[in-house]
Amino acid sequence: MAEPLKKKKRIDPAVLRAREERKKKKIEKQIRRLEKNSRQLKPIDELEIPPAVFDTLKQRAREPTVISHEEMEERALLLKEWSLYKMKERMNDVQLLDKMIISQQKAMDELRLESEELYQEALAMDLNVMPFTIKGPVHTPPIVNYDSPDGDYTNITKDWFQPLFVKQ
Amino acid sequence: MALLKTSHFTRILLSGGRHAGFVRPSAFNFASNASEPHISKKWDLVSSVCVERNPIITADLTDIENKMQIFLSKIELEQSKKSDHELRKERDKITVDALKKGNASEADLEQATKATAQDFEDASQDEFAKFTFASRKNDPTIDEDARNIKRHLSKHLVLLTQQKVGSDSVWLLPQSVRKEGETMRQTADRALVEAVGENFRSIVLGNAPVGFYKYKYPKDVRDKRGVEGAKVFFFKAIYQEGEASCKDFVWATKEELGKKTKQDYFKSVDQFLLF
Repeated sequence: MAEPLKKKKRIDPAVLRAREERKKKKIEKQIRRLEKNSRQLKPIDELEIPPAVFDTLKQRAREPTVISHEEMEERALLLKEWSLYKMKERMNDVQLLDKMIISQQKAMDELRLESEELYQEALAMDLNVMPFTIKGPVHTPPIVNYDSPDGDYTNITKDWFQPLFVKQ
Repeated sequence: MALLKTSHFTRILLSGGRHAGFVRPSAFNFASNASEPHISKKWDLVSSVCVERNPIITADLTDIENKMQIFLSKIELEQSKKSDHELRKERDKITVDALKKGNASEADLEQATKATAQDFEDASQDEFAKFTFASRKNDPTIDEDARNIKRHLSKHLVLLTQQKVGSDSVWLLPQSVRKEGETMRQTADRALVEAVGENFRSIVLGNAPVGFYKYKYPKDVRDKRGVEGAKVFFFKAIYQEGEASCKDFVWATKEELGKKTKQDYFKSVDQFLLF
């Protein structure tokens, strides 16, 4: 049964304003807390010094080696020589790739000129090629008829897996 | 210079592709008669396979690379901290000296009888010295034998066969004329099998040719068959394993390839060789 409608109590505007202020302050405080958290530096797993090493860091310091003036000059000249050598190597590599790309483009253009059908078939992906694995050159050639010793091989290399998104 | 026509493209690539107007290679048409009206002359289509044996061992370091390696290891040593093994060595040395002077305690004597770090290092070195690696340098007879797959371990080698082209025997990459209904890739696979047999395993890298070479037949052949010449499309393959069962074949280095094949043929092949 509907009572006669209650009259809405008039709240003091000052009280209302105080309420709003408090809400705003609360949210601002939360924002400041989150920002402070993001400003903190997160530890990087790979760069963490193991605590045992960290405690003995002073003992592990080497005597600073004295490098003569001649040695320093030699090193500076070697670095310059090296950067020039590497630049030339890089230019050479880029030119090789350049040549290769042009060569393939020419072959495809000529094929297209000959027959559109053959060209389209050449464009098609070769699914037998992938997945493609190739092992690079090693320092010494494989020993012929090598008798490998018995035993298990357990790989203990650390896997530095970085997830894309880190949970805060 | 071979790259004169495409100097703009070369400059773009050399700038690392950061040029604002980077143009894709397909924008240039490298076909020889792209500008001429297409007169329908008949050409034989030939697929050729360049089988590469990749190097088995790394190449020797050049002088500057050697110097750099020495320099880098010096820097690494200077900027490093002592390892556990080194600390142990130092501690052992102190106890040994203390023993000699007679200042040792019971605990030190006990420790001295255990294997020192130096002993461990020596034992490790001995074990390493005992193990014999296979030699990086070949017997010179192996390098000279052009049919041996293990020649020139640190170089790239390319398979060359001697084939009859017209009336002459020519040294070239295994090739075969396309038959009706084949794609160029199928022709390439067939060419390889015909040249070196079934035991030879290699991976042809993709359906697309990587190089192009064109040559005209002599006039009498042209008139007799009505074909201008042959257009050779090169495919690239990487040798996996197996024996080449062929009478005349050679695993050639780049220099040998240049010497055995015709000048302009080698020029076309050189375009897509990455070594």
